[in-house]
Amino acid sequence: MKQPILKLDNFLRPLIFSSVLVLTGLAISTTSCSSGPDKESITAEDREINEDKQVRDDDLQLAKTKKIFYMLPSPVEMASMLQKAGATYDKALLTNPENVTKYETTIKKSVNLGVYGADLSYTSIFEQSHEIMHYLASAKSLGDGLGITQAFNSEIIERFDKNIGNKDSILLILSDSYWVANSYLADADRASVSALVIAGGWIEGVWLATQLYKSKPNEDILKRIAEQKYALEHLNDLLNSYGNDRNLDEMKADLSDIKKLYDALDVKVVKSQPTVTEQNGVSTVGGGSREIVVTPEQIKEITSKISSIRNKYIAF
Amino acid sequence: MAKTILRIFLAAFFLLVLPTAVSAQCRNFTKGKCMPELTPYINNGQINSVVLYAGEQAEVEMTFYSGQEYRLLCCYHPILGDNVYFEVKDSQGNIIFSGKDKSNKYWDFKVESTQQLTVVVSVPSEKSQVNLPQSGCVSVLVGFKG
Repeated sequence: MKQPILKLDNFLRPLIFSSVLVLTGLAISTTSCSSGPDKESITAEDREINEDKQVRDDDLQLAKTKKIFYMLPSPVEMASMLQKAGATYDKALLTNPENVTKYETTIKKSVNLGVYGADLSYTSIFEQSHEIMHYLASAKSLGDGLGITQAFNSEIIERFDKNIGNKDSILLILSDSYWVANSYLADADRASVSALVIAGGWIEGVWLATQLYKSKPNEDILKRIAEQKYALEHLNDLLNSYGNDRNLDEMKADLSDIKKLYDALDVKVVKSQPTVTEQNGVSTVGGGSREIVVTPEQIKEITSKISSIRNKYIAF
Repeated sequence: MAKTILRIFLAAFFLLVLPTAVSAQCRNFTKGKCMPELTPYINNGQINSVVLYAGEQAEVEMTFYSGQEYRLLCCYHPILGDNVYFEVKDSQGNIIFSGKDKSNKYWDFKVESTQQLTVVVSVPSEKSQVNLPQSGCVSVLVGFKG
């Protein structure tokens, strides 16, 4: 009896089989995730193939839930919240934009892209035109060093330049750049670099908040610092989602130190039925609040820990 | 030896390259078709897109801060039909928003106190004209007012 040219072993057979299903999925999503043809363009040939695969494809039609996203406030949102909480602009808190050329490793470049992105967001929210262009140049330099040229290309720089003085436009451009950078890194299979950028942005945002609170104590800023307990949990999940990536080990260890402090914060849960009211097309959700309590000692510890982590990463 | 190399190549291609390509297309779809719908809200810069099959759900836990006004937008490719919807649940599982049977695919809202809410996107299990479970890109975007 003639042997098959490629004999599949028990491991590879299901692998190839499932890969065929993935390939089928790709063929479908190639259509579905672009602006190209949709249902109507499915050809007779597709139909024939699809009928062959019907029984196997039915297995994919499971009512299952994918937990897929990890949400943190972006540096722009964090800066916006601080401003609304009564924070003021303090240039002395920001990193030195001239230092960008001194970072050599991928880890340092990645984390500091997040740090400079947060500083760029802070200067943008407070409409510091001169500083915006400095921090934009710094972010571009770090982005270029990481191969993320799309996020701060000449078109983006030109848009920044043209819209200086128009805060809303600047914030939109900045958020778009942040999205493009994350997207590029994900496409290039460098999502762990993206995670470090996100971590750097979060660290700088919390550091700014703690320093602003330290210089001028304000209950609203304190509340924002405390609420970062949730963001830190999401950040922790994000970093852990990459498994054992040695680029992330150091960051994971550093964040676990501050997570211990956040884990110790008391959360008061007020259980009540939610209410939803609507005015001018905008709903307001009430009820079911959680208040995170921070003691003066705890805020000191968080301030100290975030400073030491931040200082470690901005050092060259 | 050659067969082993071929096997490794095939396994790597199907397991690594294809899913990445699908995700990249989904992100392109999000950028081109979904992000403009957030206007005038500012996107939060994060990539929240996935390819879902009919019958699947995607879930994300998000923190929404008091004092901010948000737009939560669910955007998906038309190949998935017209019945894709999202619901928002509070931390106790109460549904505080349901987009089921509604024409608009977004929800503008504020929270009186900072809350962690869960957004569940559902792709109903519908058979297409070729009796094939469809898959398509689904994105959940969050925008805020600066």
